[in-house]
Amino acid sequence: MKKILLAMALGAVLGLLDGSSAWFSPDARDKMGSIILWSALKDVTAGFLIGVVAALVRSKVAVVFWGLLVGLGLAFLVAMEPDPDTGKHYYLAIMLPGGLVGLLVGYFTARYGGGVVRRRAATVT
Amino acid sequence: MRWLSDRTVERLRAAGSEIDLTHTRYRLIEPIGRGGMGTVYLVEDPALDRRVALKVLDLPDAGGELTARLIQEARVLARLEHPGIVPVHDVGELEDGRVFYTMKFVRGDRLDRWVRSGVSLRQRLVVFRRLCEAVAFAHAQRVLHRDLKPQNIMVGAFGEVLVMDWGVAKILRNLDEEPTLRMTPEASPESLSARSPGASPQTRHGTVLGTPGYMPPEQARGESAQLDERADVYALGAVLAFLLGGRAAAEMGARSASKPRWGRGVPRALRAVAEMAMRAEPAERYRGADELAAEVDRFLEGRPVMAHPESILLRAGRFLWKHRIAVILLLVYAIVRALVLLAERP
Repeated sequence: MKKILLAMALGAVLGLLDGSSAWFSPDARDKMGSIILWSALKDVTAGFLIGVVAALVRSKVAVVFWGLLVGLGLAFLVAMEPDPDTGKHYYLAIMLPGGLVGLLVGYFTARYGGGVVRRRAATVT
Repeated sequence: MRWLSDRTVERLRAAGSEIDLTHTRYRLIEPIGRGGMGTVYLVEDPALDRRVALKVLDLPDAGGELTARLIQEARVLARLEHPGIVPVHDVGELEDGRVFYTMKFVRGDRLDRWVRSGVSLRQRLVVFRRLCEAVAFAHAQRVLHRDLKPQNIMVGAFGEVLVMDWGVAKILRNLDEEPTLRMTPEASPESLSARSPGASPQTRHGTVLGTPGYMPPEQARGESAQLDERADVYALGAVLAFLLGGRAAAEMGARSASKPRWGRGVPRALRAVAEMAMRAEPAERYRGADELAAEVDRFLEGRPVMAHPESILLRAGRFLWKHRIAVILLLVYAIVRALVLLAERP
């Protein structure tokens, strides 16, 4: 549970930061609210998916790799939607940071989230 | 008059080093060590089908003083049931009246030999940590070793540590107990054993027992009544210095044994820990072996040690180094984000 909450919190923070960076693109400034909200939601979802796996899997490398996959996957879903004004897709601009956010959440959760869930030992009668 | 040949002398010496175990349950295999007071033999215990070490006085003890000391040494060991302290199995008497005791036959290397086998700093510190645990246990049982040195510490094949030679151990008096105390002048040639003739088994004030370079100033002055746990802490500091430098503190060119001369590459924090343990004034040392062990733990965990206060800059550097992967990942993310934003700009 601790790992899941940590991963979701990290996802929320990184999602907010990631969304806020849209302010540097003048075209996106008027849509800041929805960009930040969806970015945070996307990364909280990523955090949940990463946290669940991190709670069950002992290997840090596996969790980091899973984080990268989840980050890229969710970012791909977002990037599939074209810009309503220009009709362009921003795959690189969305997927590259998205994948890195997933990787970061995976690493931080595996490194600082404590131990994995212990499986109940079989009882011997 | 005819001189004996070297071969004859050698045979006589060999015959003299054999002991008659007929009336004991043990079978002699070979001598494995020799000390000032007695000899240690490897013997077989057929009843339990195992090999044990048997320590016996070299000569029958007419005065009974050495006998009392050997028995006392065995009792000290019997009192200290700990994985890091060699366990005693049995006490008995040979037909000629010499007292012996048997203990676990320890397989492994002496610390001074083990350290030459190219072990890493971490392995050395882990072994030192185990040594501290054993000594802390003895202190909790109110026993001081008083002759801790690499030659008295065995390291097993799996890194297990066994503290040997409790011959000069001292039992500290509990506040509600009568004075007690014991020791035997032991074994190693480096050990000092300047005792006045006819002394009782109890350590007399003014008696010097221990090994130069490893004994604290108060012990070297013969202030045996003033010795407490911090005397062993000093010796542990000297052992740590040995483990860090590979040479005994006394051999490191130190004018005072309290201030070892350090080689290159020894972390400052560890130097500070060893030097604090080896302070001339007992009140300035760690209060016990457990406190010293906690310092080594801090170092092993990458935390600052008490003996070496750090500036904020150093602390920040230590923090960044400890979390370097996380820092690198964050930096990479920030750089990538900035590049993506720059690329998007018209």
